[in-house]
Amino acid sequence: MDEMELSRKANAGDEAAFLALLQTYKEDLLRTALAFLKNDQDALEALQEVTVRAYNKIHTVKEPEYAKTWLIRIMINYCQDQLKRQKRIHHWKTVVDHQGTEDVSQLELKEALASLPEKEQQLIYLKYFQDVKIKDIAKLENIPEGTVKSRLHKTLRTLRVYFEDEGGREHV
Amino acid sequence: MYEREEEKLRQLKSQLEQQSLPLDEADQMIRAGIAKAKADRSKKNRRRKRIMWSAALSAILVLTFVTSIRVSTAFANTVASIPGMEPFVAMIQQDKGLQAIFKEDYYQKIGASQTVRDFTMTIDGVILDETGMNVYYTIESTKKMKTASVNTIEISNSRPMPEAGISYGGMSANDVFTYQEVMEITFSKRNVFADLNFTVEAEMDIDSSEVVFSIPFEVPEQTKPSKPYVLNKVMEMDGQHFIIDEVVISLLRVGVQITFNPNNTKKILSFEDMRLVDEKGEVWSEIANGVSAFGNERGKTTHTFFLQSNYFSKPKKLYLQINKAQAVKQEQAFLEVNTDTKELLSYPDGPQLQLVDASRNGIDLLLTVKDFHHDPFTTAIDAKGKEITISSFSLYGEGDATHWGPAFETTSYTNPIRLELHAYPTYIEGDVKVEVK
Repeated sequence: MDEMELSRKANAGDEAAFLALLQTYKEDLLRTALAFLKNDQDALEALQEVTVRAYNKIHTVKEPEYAKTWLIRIMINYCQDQLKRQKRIHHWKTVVDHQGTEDVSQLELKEALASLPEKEQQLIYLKYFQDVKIKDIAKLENIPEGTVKSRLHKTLRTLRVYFEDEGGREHV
Repeated sequence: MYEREEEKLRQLKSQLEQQSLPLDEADQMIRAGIAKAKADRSKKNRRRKRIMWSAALSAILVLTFVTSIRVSTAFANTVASIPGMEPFVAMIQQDKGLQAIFKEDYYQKIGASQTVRDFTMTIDGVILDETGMNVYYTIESTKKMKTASVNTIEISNSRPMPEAGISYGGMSANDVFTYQEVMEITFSKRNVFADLNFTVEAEMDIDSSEVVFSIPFEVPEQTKPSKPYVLNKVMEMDGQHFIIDEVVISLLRVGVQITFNPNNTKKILSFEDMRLVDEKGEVWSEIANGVSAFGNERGKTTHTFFLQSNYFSKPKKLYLQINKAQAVKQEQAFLEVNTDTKELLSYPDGPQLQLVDASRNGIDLLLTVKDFHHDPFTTAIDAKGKEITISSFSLYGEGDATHWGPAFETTSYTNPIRLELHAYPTYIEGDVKVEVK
């Protein structure tokens, strides 16, 4: 069964198809989680939670060809919620809880994304890490392609400032 | 224009793609997610209706999930224009008789309330007639309520209350500051109160605390009298005989009293399509939610079935029609279960019924019929003939099947136990039509 067929069946309420769909995209979903979250454990938890959310909403997916991007977006939203929550918890725990569980491998990416507003994090991630076409992003967001392009430019400008600062620091 | 930034992003992408993924555990997490979603869903669907009985009285319930009701805007506007009634629109929508009561202004506004700590209970209003009383109430809290349910709810009068079944919603709140419920009291015999002062006593479990309310109130107006039509007509359906004794039209419901011939080979449990039809063909049918019949005590052959009221319509002609009845063989009209060995020993011919789980506290049955919204049980009898009260009953759908979950009030009984059936999805058909007026 191809991905379109799976997506269509899952959308119609076929549980086996839903499971197969999630299995098909699990790598992309985990990778997305790792772009935002601390470690494997958090990414796995995120995968479970995204499965729950997707299971409850799969019937609302109108176009099966966007099922993958739809899932990735659920994942990004979940990760962003988690990060917000962690921030709040950090306020309480302060420095005492500085555990060594953090995986530093993607720190640069995480920090770069964190420098952007949430909507722009999603835009950059979809465009450059999932290679979603501008035309498709426009369709998903229900906005004109031109708007997507100008948002991308604005976001890249923000990143330029960020990367330059980073680079500057490295040279010091 | 932003080549350097795009190049940097591509670099980060390839780094991310090189990172190892915990794929072995991923499938397990996906399966766990599906299981969790399903568990959450059935919890949501499990809107329990609970019922309390006065001694020796049995009532048969029909249960519909409120979430499945579509609300017509015209009707919603009528009810929503009564202050405080907006939340009840969905509850009323499915019953034409109730709709008419609101349109004709026979909903009596009360507004009595009591505040206990953070919680306030308000008796919003009532509908009272000779067959029962609906009490609409609101629970409010200063904090969000995660869960709230009725532990017990009772109503008293200066005189003893008539024998009655009380049904009320189970779990109601879900992260809300306020929610509405209705307590439906159905009298076993017609009744007129001499004194219209009542007190509702309710014990609510809200989050982890128990809140007790006691709210006295007076119903402003006496009820409208019922209209009885005596028929005494002998009818036959698929070889089974019964007498339609009388039809009584009241504000809240129409009662149809029927006496079954004890020599019938099949036990008729309920008439799913029993309906009143006027000369224009307009139909008033079975009560869609709540108490649908009374009088299925063991040994008794006279039962009262309830239909939605047509009190306010003035038809020239009115007929009672029945084409389909739930029926099982007389000798099979029960389930037999051993709750220790977890065995289902006996059940009627027809659709598959499975015992999913059992303990001395209760059982979980799975009926392979979709959306069969009937509560089939009133009491259970143990091996020594002792009666076991069914303290609560839960019903929820799972795919193409229906779960039945009766819970028992006691664990001290002797297995196996027998549960008399008052509903079952096996049918007889026929053509019964009687002129009521």
